[in-house]
Amino acid sequence: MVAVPDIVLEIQDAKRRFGRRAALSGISFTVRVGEISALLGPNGAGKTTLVRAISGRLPLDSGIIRILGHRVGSDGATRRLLGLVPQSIALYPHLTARENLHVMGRLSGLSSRQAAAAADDALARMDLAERANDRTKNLSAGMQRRLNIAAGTLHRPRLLLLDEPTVGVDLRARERIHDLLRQLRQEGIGILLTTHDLDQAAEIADRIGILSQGRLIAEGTPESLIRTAFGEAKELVVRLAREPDAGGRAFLEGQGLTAIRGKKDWSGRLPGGLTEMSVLGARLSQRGLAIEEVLLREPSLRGVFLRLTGEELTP
Amino acid sequence: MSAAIFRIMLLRLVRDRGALVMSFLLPAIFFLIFATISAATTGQDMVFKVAVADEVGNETAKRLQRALWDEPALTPLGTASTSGDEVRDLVRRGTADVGLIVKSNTEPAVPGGEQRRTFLVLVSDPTRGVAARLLSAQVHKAYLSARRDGSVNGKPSEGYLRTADLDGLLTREDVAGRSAGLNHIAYHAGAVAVLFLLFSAIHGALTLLEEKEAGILERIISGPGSTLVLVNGKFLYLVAQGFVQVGVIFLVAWLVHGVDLPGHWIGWAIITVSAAAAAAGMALAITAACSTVGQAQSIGNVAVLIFSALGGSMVPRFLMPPWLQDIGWMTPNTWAIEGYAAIFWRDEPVAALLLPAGVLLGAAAAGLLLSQWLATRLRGV
Repeated sequence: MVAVPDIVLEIQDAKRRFGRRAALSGISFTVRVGEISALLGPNGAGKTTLVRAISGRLPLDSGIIRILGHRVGSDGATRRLLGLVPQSIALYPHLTARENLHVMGRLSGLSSRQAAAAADDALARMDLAERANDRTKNLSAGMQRRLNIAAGTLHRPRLLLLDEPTVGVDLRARERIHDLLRQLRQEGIGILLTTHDLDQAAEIADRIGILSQGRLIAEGTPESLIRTAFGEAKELVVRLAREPDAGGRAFLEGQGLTAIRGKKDWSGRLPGGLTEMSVLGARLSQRGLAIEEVLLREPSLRGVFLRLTGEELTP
Repeated sequence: MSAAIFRIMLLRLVRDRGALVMSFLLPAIFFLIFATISAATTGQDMVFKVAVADEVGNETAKRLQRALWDEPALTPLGTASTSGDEVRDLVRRGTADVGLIVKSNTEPAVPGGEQRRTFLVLVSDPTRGVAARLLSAQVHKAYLSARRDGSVNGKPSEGYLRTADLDGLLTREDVAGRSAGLNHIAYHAGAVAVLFLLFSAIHGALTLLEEKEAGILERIISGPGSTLVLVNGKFLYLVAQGFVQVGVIFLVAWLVHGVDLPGHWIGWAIITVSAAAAAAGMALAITAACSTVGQAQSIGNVAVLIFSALGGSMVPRFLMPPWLQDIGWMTPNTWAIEGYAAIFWRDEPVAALLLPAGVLLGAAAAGLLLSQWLATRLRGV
């Protein structure tokens, strides 16, 4: 009996520098078969570099990337196992949806007959069969996004890389795309998506990796990341009327708060509830800090990201 | 406020080397090229190569030739033993712009005399009519000079050009293929076809960079496809598109002007495929060497204009000074036009197309290989 590998993507200690800047500083990460993983990180964190390395377009300085055991760059095998969905709508706007999928299928190595069958199948799965003969440029943004994903799946890849798959679409279209990704997961495809959208990551990702300055600073399920960052505590956000001076900042940091957005907003974890919040509010007021608003909420990935990177991730 | 916008525009230009070159260097280069061509065609520098065969060899014929070569615009080709047929061949092949054969016939030069009457054959290429007209005028001038020098007290000397009516002595003979008289149309069809072939190839090749900017290239090269597939596919398409495009131009030339396309279709197809391949290779190489669509468009258009100016698509090359004519051999336009001339003008066999077709196909192969190599860099985008 042949063992079916469980890990579709394995990244070991990936390093890559551009001149003096380290874009990837020893990243290790895995994606399992039938799993959706998300890479979160601000601009410049190393997401794009990592995706380029996984797709074989950028050699690493050191480290290994394997797709189903095949080392990326050693032969063409990994390219047949990989499907890429770029952030832009990487389709020919003057071709119809069906024509685009047929062309992409042919360029993915399928015969003309296989490409035609794969295109029809993908159109049905993406709920685009009725618009199959419409020119791509005439489709809605959400439909174009779905078609973009379909084009990456025609050759039945085992690993699907998606770069910001829902950027620029409305909530309804985003939900449809999420359903689609879940469906692909059920089919056993390993999915790795990069996103700025924390809500999206929390909603569909089985595992999340948080990148910052070329390092993987946290990894786990959304729940485990939240639990690790906050424990039983709540997430506290304090909005000040004006930026604090150096002394005020030191005091806030002493209370376990982290500055966000121009140092008027501060975030942290607060064990306890409203009583502890009142106590903290009183302390800040005594220190002369003008409080505009205090929020106490259930911790989320947004709070995790803030605590880990000191930055907010805006979709 | 306006000063701020002025500064933005200035910085944008100063910090864009491509735009600087396009704005200031290329106009100057263009001016130099066209001024040189224009000066050569309208000024004092125009020089025509005249193939001469002197089948008479008497003093009058020599005097006539000496008078001809006093004209700086005429340069003699050939030797004392050059025959009339060789002159025709030199003109037919384009080595000479025009030819002159000094002949004699059986008619006595003087009624009752023994000397034979001398007459002149002006061998003309219909596509180079201006050269024939200039030589004709110069022959008239030389005739008057020869007549004056060759007369003694108004009596004709040995072998003189007897008649006062030079037109009766000077006959014009066009060396042409089966489509004589239509060759200038065939010439322009070829010249215009290559110009548009190059423009279309550049336009088509730009899709390579459009695909890169749209992310399509990224998708393709991340999967089982490769940049080779992309470049080769585009090359084949551009060759096919070019073939049809040139076909339409020659079809019109045939239907409207009677250029004998059906009678020369094999040679035409060989040169057209070769020229289309050269244009496709060149366009893809330029595009693959550029980073953006705008850059490739600018460089490509400029290259097409320079090639076409030097290669004879805008102004016939024989009107250019010799050094510019030599540069023309480095353009696909010249070789394609030469190929079409061999087919439609000289009625040469297909074997004669070996050189122009070979050069064009060589350029096509070089362009394709270069573009394939350059396109591999796009993997790192």
